[in-house]
Amino acid sequence: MSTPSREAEPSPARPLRRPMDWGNAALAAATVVAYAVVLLPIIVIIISSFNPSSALTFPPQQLSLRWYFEFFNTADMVSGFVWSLVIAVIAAAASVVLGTLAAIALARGRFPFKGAINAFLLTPLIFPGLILGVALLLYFQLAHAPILARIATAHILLGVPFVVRSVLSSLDLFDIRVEEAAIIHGASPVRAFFKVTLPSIQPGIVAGAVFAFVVSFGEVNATLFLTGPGLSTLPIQIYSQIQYGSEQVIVAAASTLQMGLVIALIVILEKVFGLSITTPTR
Amino acid sequence: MSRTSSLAGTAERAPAARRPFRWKRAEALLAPAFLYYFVLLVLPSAAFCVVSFYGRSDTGFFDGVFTLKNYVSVLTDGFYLGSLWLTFRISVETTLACLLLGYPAAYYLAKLSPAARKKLIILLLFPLLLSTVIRVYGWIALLGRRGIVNQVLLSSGATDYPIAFLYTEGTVLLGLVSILLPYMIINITNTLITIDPALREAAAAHGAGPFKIFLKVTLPLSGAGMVSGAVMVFTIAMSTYIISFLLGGPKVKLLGNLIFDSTSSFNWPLAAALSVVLVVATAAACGAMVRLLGSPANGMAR
Repeated sequence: MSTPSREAEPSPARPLRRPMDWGNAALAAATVVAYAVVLLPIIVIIISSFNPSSALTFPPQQLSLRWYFEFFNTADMVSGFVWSLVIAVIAAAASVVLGTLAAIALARGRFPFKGAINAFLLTPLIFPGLILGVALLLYFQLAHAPILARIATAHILLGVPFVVRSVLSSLDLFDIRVEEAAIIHGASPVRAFFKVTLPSIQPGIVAGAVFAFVVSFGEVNATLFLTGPGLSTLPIQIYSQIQYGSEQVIVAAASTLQMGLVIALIVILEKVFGLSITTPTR
Repeated sequence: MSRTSSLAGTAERAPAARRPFRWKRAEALLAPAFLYYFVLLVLPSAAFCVVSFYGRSDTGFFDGVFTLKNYVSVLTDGFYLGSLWLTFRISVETTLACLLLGYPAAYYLAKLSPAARKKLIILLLFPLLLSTVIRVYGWIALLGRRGIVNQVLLSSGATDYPIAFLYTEGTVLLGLVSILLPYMIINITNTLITIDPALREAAAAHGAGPFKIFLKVTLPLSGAGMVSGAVMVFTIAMSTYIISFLLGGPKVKLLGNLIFDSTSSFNWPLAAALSVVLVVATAAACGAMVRLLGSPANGMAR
């Protein structure tokens, strides 16, 4: 493999090896810098959450679970955590129903404008959460909708594209001849689909559900508009604690808990369903 | 259809002919999603656009009288224009910084073995699954008045009083780059790994040096990945408000922050007009980018 160097041009007299290694080292260094910019804040949070001191001393003198106890003793944080779980489950369940049906229609239906319909179903991915939040807030205030419905509505909308995409890609990978075989043996197309195809695209559905859950669990851009007195999610509690809180380190514990949940879901996805998080996003 | 292919006697059907039957009326399955999108995405957005043409009301949400004065004030008032320009400038700076920082990393990832690359890509996807507020808080814990960097500086005696790193345009830019960089790296990596190595070998066989091969073969062929990454990063940066609020404070007022402020002061028509301007400006800039630099790659990883 030739390794073009961006740093130094190899002089033709010398053998190619040396400058190539230099180029590689420079690339590796640049990669480390890029990863540090992305991961440094996350690593700092995890370490701070185990630091008993309320000032962010670094490195921590000792390790403790103090902030985790504080987290579970803070009513706002716990209720935010519980509401986040409830809303994420609602969002995942509803977007699986809407998204799976739509993906089946796109994969098996006979109608025009499929590309446009697919793009339309994916619009919440590019629709700014800020504007979704303001527009829904005005709409819901005119309709006097309860807060839980406001937040869940937005989160379902944000989850559907992930389900559509992962179910569609599972259906594309599925060998349709198996479904044909069932039909040749007398099953109706719909029965063949539900008995043969649906069980084998189950991983795609689960992956979509996990993504919808995770997106909902961390969403803030639209949620900050839709939240209200008595009902807010964990990210919103974190947001107000950063802004007004005296004991900011509790945020580190809350954040680390969220990371733990996300990691647990990814591991379940990999181990139980043999899916990597890199699969459904392609 | 299936009869023709069996008459042809091929054991393996060509992919194009692989759908011998379709469901009738499968479009009915689209109905729930369409209804949901229509009632809870299309209608609220349309209503919001309409409100941008109404005047403000002290008793209700808007007065219901058609007017262009929201747009006139957004597009002529120096305060709003300044914020629009600041939003645009920070978004462009974020996109360029992500390109410069992300390209070498993507290039490095693309050269790795698929297994090693997958591991490193997961490290980039994981932060995308976390809440924005968490990732922003990490920077506050590092750069705040009582943050880790200041603690280290104070205890080492490098400074006698804490340095105010936060609440500047620079920290907003840093936060945006830190949060959006994974999109850029993943998009560019996905295009780089599709480039046929034979093209580079052919260039080398014709006497091109590594630098020239990169400039003439690899860089142009990865253009689509750069464009799709840039469009994604730019679009998200343009509608930022939480990152700029937490890391920029009251000094860095992006358009998103003005939209948030106008809803807090119940000026819904102004919030709506600002939103429409934001969406139109973002779409125009992305359109111009695609026009100038070529189409984005398909199958964006996000």
